[in-house]
Amino acid sequence: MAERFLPKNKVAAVILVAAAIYLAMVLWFPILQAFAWSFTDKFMFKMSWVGLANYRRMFTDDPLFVQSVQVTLRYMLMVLPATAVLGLILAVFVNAVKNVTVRGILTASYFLAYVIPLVAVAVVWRYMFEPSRIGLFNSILDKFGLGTVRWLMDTQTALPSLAIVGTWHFTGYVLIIYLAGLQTIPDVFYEAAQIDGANRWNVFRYITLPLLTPTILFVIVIGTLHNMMMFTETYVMTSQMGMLPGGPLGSTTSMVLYIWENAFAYQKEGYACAISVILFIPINIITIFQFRLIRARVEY
Amino acid sequence: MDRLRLRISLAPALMRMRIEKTALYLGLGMVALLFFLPIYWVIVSSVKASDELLRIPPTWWPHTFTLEHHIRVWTPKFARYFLNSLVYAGGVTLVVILTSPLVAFALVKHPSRFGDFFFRLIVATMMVPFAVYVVPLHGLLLQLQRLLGIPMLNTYWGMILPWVVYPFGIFLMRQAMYGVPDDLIDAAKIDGASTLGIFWMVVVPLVRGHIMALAIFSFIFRYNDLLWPLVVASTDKMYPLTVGLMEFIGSFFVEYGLITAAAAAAILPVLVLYIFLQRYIIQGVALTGFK
Repeated sequence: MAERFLPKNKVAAVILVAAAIYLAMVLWFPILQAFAWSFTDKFMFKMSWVGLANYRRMFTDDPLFVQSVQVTLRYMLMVLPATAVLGLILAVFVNAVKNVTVRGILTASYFLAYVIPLVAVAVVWRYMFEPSRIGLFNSILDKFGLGTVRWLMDTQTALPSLAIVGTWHFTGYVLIIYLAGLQTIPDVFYEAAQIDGANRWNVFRYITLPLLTPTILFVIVIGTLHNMMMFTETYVMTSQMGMLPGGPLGSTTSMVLYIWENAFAYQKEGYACAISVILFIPINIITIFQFRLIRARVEY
Repeated sequence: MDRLRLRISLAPALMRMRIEKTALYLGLGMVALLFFLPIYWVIVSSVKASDELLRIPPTWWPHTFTLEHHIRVWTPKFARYFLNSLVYAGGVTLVVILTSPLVAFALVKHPSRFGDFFFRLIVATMMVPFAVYVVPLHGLLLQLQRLLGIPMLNTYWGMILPWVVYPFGIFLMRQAMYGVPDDLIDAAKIDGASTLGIFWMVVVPLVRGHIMALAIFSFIFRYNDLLWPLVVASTDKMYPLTVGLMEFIGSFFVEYGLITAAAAAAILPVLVLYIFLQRYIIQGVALTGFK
């Protein structure tokens, strides 16, 4: 460990202190402020201390907040398992492709969905989700005599529709993480299994899966964090002229969208901060869990 | 004779391998096409004539090819969205690739207790989602506006402000700094180079690859960013593409040709970057879990 409090080198010391002051201003202080404001009724420039009133209101007097928590959790429970499983299956098969060029092209085309601006593609997702038969999905369903679905226009199907978009968007990212994990498994294990005459399912079940456990856990943690922050999907897929996004009837209003609504549509910043704090707690627990995981990963 | 027999006995196995390989490629290729479908639908819809876009059932291939939407979408307003996106993403990227290696250099090559503590705090707060502190951050802009007397809301400065010192960037560059040999730095010091001279002439060339990866990520993330520009930009003079596209989306009389042409234009820069630099991007994600 370093002995000196600040580097002897003046330039390095100035850089570090300046960077720390800046981060304190744009990151650490705002985080603390979110906590502080959550105990106030901050509304534009007016602010007074209200104790736990925001939290009390949230849980006893605000069905929209409760709904946003449900929406967020339901969305996560749809997208997280879908991406974690689909990503794993794809990764295992992509990893079986020996031709480097083919593998590169495949990986790149799955990952593309994660890189291009979601807002732009959301435009065309809305077109494909059209409730009439000009929408691609309904025209396909109709062709097979399955009738049509109202997708984003129905409180029952709106969130699952967003989950389809979310899965499409996030699977490529998860796939890359899995591929990196698969490449750390030494070939020796596979060779040994081959000599023992294990079939492929057994190789996957008894070698790949156990050795991939740290990666799978990492995917679950990252996926939870990512999906709990769901905002862009619902904001761009459900906004209508003259209405707040998150419809129909709030069935796609996620927690982050609800924070945004309260803070920037109603200027109820104190209340918005209280929701941020509620969102922050599980994320904090997950992050701490993840640090343990990273440490465990290094040991392995 | 023996060799012939061996070949005969191997033939079915080889055949099976070939079939398996074909099935593997076919299956993975089909999933890839499925993933590509929305992007295909953007492109193909943008070149169909307006009445074909409303046809039931939709056509898989444009029967009426037209570039009308692509021409009509380029209004001065849309060009301004584009410019704003480039200024926001490009500006942040230029700043980030300067500050991140500098801070990482000071952290690694000039170790101190303050530096250790600083880095620990960075790691601890790196994962805190933007949405958690976006409200106070908006308050900070208001405060700065009042204290300094210069506008912050609805300006490029306000948009760039939260990303100037970038925890992920520092994290990534710190790893790179460990690959820079101390001997080189010492040698440069003996030759009389200043600290910043050493940084510029010795360190930066050695960590170019990481800087490149950081630049790509930073650009793409800010280019795709919706939440912060939505908070800061309030007039369409300042909207970046992500916010500007919302104007097309929300209206009742949806002109899908125009919308998809706008979307195609917005996707294009990232697509080009991706095609040329995808190796850096994918490696970057694999190495850091960058998000």
